[in-house]
Amino acid sequence: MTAHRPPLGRDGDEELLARLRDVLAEVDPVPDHLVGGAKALLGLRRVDEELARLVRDSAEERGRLLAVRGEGDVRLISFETGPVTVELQVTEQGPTRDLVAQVAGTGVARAEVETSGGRQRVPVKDSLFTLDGVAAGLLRLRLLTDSGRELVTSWVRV
Amino acid sequence: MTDTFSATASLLARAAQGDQRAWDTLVDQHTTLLYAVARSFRLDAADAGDVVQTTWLRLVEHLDRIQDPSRLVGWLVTTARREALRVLRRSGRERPAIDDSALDRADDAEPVDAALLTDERNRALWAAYRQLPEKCRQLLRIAVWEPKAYDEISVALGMPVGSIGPTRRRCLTRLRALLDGTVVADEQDGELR
Repeated sequence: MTAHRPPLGRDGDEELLARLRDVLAEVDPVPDHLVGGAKALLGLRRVDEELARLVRDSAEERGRLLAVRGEGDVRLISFETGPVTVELQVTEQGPTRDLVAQVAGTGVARAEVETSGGRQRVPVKDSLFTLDGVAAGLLRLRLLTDSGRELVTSWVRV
Repeated sequence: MTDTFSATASLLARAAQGDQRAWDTLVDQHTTLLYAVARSFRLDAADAGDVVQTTWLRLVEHLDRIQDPSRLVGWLVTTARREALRVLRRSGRERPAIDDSALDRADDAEPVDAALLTDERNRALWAAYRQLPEKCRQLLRIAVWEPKAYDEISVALGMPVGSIGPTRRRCLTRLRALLDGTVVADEQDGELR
């Protein structure tokens, strides 16, 4: 009995943490598919595309906490690369999302909405495009500018 | 530390060039911690999985932009925390009063199935852990994977770094108290209730 007691002080802490780690790993393991899924993500990397980075997301802002949530909630997400900005407005409609995107700083020759289900080309007028009924989940926008640059936004979960 | 730095820098550089094995190593090294961070926000397994996936996606996007490889873990934890808060806010589960701390959420997403634990001492430890205050469970859930990474734990929990050590000590003391005679019968600690 005495032999099983961890020593007091820091060593005891580390020992206790190590045992708790084993318990947590057993009771609440990382789901199997998660590691494999994360490894597969490297395949999404394309060095020939320019990334418009996520710079603002209203879902992160404090004021939103006070808003009454419900059908038709609107979320604003901004992406940027150099002088080009993309403003994406996402409206929740139950399990689907309605998208409105406005591009500034460049003309847009072609726009696509990419989800885990594939890509969908969307007509663009005056650097503005819309797409309704997109399934909730990960998505990003792919743009071909008037000058022939390929832009892709960060993935966002909507 | 220098070894860790150069190893991480090399893994990032190789992964940025499409080296799958380097990327796999990074994922193997850190997914468990990221999952623990997400779960510490009381997200269920599915939402926590989404947070981990989004975090790795962000790293894919930023592979050649990580300026200080020695801070990769901090960067990952920061990203996971931000994604977790986003999920909480979107689902309306975060109450304004607790803001970013998310420390006192009343609902309980801890798995209850201790039947998996065959070792009697582990069952007792799990039972004791589940009786800890929320803040302690959050902190320990992360600390078990990175016991000395006070900076990263501080980032994950949104707590001042100076409070991590003392809180960790207090939580472990409390855990021992809950374990009572089963682990240490003779612990002397004035803070025990």
